[in-house]
Amino acid sequence: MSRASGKEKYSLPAVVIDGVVISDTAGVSHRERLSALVDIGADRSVIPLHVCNDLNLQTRRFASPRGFDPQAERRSIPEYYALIRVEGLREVLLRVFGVPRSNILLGRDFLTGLTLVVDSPRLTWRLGCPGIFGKMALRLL
Amino acid sequence: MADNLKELKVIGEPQVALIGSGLEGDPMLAQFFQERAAFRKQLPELLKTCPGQYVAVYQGRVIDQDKDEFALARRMDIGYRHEFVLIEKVSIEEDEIRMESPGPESP
Repeated sequence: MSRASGKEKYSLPAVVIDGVVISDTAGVSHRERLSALVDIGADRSVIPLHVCNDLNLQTRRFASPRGFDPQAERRSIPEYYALIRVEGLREVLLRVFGVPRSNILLGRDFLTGLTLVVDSPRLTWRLGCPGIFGKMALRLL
Repeated sequence: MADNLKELKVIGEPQVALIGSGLEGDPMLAQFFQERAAFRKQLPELLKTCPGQYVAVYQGRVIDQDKDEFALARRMDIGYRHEFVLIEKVSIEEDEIRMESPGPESP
C-alpha cells in the first residue's frame, strides 16, 4: 500500500500511498488503484481532473486557494464532492479540488486525526489512527 | 509549474482559470459567477433564516438547504447530476484555503 519514494518521479523522498479509491458521492462509480501523495501543506485534498471527468463528478463551486502558484494571482479551481478511500485506514466524503495532475494529493482534510510517523534515515513511514496505530496494516519499506 | 499556467480573465470578476485544465471558456465558471451573485444577493435574508447552513442555488434560487454539507451534495448529485448547482455556506466569512502544495502538472 505504501512506499517511500526517493528515486522515482519525486525530487525528494515522499510519502506515497498506492491503491487509493475515488468514488462519486453515492459510492457507485469509482476509480481504483490510484496513487496519492500525502500532503500536509494542503488544506484540501486534490484529485486528478481526468478522474473527476471519468466519474462524471459535477463541479459544485470554484475556489481560489493561496499557494498553488505563489508567483501568480489566485486562480479559480473547480471543487467537487468525492469519496476517498484508503483501504484499512479511512473512507471519507470530502469537498476536493480537481486539478490536472497524475496523482492525488491527500490534504489535511483527509489526514485529520491520523498520525504520520516518518523514519527519514530508512525512508520509511507509517500512517494510522491513534489508539489502533500498531494494528493498522501499514507497510514499512 | 508556472509555465503551464496562464490567466483567463472573466468579465466582472477578478478571477482567473487554469489554462490546460479544460476550464478555458468553461460555461461552468460563468454559471458559478451567476449563481454566486444570486447567492450574495440573497445572503442577508439567508443569514436571518438559516445561518451556518449550506444552501444549494440553482438558476438564481435556493432549492435546498441542510446543516450537513455532504448530505446536501449527495441530494444534488441525485437530483441535479448533470446540472451546475452552487453549494455555499450561509456565512459572511469566506474560508481562506491554503495549498502549499505541488500544483498542476504539465500535460
